[in-house]
Amino acid sequence: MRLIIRLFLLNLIFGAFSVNGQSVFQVSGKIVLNGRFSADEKITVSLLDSEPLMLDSTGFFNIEIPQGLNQILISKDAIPVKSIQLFITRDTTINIELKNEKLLKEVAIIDSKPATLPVHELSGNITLSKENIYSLPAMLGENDPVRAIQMQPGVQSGNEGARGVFIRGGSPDQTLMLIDGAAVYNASHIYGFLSVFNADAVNQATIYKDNYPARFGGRLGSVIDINTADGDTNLRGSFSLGIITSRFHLEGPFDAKKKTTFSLSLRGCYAGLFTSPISAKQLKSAGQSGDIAYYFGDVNAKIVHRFSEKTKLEVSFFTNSDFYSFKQESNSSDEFQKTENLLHQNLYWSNYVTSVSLVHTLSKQWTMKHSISHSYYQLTSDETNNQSQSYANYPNEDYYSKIHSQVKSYINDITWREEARFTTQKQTFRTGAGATFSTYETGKNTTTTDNNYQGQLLYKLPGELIHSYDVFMYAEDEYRPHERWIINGGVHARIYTVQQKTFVNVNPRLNVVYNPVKQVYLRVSASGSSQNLHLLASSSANILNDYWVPATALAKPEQGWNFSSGIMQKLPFGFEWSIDGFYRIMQNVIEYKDGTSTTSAYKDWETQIATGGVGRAYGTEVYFARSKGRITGSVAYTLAWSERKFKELNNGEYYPYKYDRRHNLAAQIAVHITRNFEIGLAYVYGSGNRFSVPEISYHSFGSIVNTYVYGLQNGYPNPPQGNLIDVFSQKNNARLPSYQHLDLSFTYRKRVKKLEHSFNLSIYNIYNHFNVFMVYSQYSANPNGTQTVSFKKVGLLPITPSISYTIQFSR
Amino acid sequence: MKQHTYLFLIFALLLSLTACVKDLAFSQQNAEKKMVVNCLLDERRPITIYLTQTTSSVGTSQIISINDAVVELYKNDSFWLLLPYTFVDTAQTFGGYITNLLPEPGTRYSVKISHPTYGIV
Repeated sequence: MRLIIRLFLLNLIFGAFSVNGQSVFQVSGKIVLNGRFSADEKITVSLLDSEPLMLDSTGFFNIEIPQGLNQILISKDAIPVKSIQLFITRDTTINIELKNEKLLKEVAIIDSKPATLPVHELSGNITLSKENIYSLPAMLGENDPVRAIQMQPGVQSGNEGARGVFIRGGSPDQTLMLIDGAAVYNASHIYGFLSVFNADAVNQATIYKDNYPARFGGRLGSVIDINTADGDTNLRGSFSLGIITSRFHLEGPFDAKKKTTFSLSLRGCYAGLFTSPISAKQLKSAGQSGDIAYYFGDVNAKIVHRFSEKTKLEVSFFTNSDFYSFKQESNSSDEFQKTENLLHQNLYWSNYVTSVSLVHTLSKQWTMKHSISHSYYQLTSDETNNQSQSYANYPNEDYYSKIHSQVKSYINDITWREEARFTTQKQTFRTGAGATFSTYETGKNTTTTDNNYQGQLLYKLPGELIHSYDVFMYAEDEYRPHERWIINGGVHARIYTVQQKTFVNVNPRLNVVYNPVKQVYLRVSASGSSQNLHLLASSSANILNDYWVPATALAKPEQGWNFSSGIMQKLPFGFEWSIDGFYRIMQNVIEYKDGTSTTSAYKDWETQIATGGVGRAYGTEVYFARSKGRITGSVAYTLAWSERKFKELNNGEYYPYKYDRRHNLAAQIAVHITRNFEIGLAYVYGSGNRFSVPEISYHSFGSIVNTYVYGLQNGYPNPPQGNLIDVFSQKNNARLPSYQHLDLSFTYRKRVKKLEHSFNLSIYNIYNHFNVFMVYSQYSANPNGTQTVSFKKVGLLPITPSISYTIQFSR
Repeated sequence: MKQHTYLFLIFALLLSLTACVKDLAFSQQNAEKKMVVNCLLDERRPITIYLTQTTSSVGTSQIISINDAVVELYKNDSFWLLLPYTFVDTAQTFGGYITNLLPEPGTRYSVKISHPTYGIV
């Protein structure tokens, strides 16, 4: 191995007897690979037998080293590639240059033990690499980054098929989802089973839930920051054809000098080819007709150009388009009545996200980042609902109704952002400012109704077009005054203008880590936050019908506080554990009023919601993991409560939030049988979602007098007893059955020259647990005039094996 | 690129991808039965009050009349008359508390119902 290392040791001797007598020193510097650094290289720096430190996006590192002789390990993809011995007597700066061709010799063995567990940082942040994502058993042939994120403590999926990520009792909109610095508004494909993030394109994902750094803002609770790969300096790629999806990934240099690199990932889903005939058969067996079809595609592309060692330009683009169709037709007839129902729903949604950023290193301390991003998300819902009923004995009661409605909504924003970073041996200071200009159109609705009472009517609602301006600025400082302390503090301020009204929010942030004894870390954090947009989420079903709406004078910006504290210990042999507690307060949250949902969105959305709600969420998270050795794994358990309160709902009392999950458990184990063969096991358990069920029902006056008594008085046998009115004593008073699945995967890899063959067998939901995807109530009329009501639960994925074969090539 | 020639077609299995529907029961749906009072005053129709039982929110619901209540009608806050239970059909399967008197517009009516099981309403 040939490495050219240039060490610049500054003032090495004079600091040996410093005034404060410190025994731990800061060693900082840059590692450059072939004249430049790519974040995709996954180079880490560590002391022997200590936790590796991932370099930041510019190749910079800063580690603490005790006085005296030390051995520093430089690793690439978790494999040591260089060892350096340093005799440290004071704070030191080191610049290291690695030659790529020599590293490649090491590449032959790097896949033997890839890092399978995310890095839990001292501050509470969790960083996942591409290897972490691929170490989990695949579902339907896909390794989903968001599923890997949901295995972490305090993070949960909603339920089978629920969209978004739910962190510490918050709603999905309260988590800021970023891809290369730009916001993604809907991160879900296919009922929420798959996220829009293609694992091939992802370099790393970081979850901020304890520590909410001041450089982030605009959401109430948490941040998931996803960075895509810059593109390798050598051409490489992969291709995979799976059950319902296919993927293609290619990255490499554009030019011989390798100053410009690219990364391109394509993915397509053709689930509709299977779901359409299968669902048609299912519906036919239930005496109905119709089908369910689903298709999507997504594209990730990134180009990085390095003007010089100090200046880098990144252009990133991401888009997805999804189409869902559900058609159900049911007809029934007997000697008394004839009923015909047709329901046809189509949903289309797509994201378009583009970001351009220029990173310029001004000096050893100063780095500037200029960026501009654009994010567009649109959702169109198209529904036809036809019903007709005719009675043999009551011709006057014949009824027909035809409704066709189309609702369109979109959010379109452009963000400009400037950031300056100042780095010294003891601190990293960031300051920045920017602005977001957003346009929302919500509920553009065209509805045609036709029935035997009113005839044909056309309703057209142009939708409410709202512009908002959100100016933000921040200052953040991570300061290490002593080897036992890390203090990250800052302020994030936002000035939000909408409908000629301005809201100002100033949010302080603080995260303190203290190391009282060896390898034990205590952390405490408090952060204020605000959110200038809301997500109107229907609680009736898991089908996507969520709408982003801006904070307005009526639906004011959400505000919140997060408090957390925890203890973490790093143990020998790669073991670690942590316990965290959290308490979250939310203000100005919104919720649909009782009896309203997006299906009645032809009204102004502000009239359908309850505003000024408050929320609270609290709980404890326990994490235990082993990250080294042949057997690695982790267990994350969360005990939590999440509640909401509105004056207009539930008699003004607190009620459980839809995603109030009392228990949430996620465990994973990876067993490296040989260098090429690996077995993965993952288990997820979560208490069921909250749900409103009627406790009792009664017949209305109209049912009794107009239908039943009228029939009896006129001598009709078994007159219809009409419809029921449900009575709910409390909102979300019931809990759905628990959500759980055990997944298993076998992965075999074989490298032949420049090709790596990867064969994966995954089994999702091994013990075939029935996970509730959605609930609906079914009404059926009986010949004796009575009505039978039953609640039905729908499960989508029973035990589901999948096999994929992937080939990766590199030059 | 030459490497593309090495790309293989991948095979896949789909053993099951089927939606399944099952009944779902909630413990909350066994609430205690209550009395439902239905009355509409119309100056053209005799005063009629229907008393029925609530039903479970799941299962088969049937209109069950309550025929053993004492129904007192008040006019302008003063007791006016007692409404007798009267069948509305010749088969005598369903009835209400009915008087032949018509309500007068501008008059305040109230009702007091006593029942051995449901108490006083």
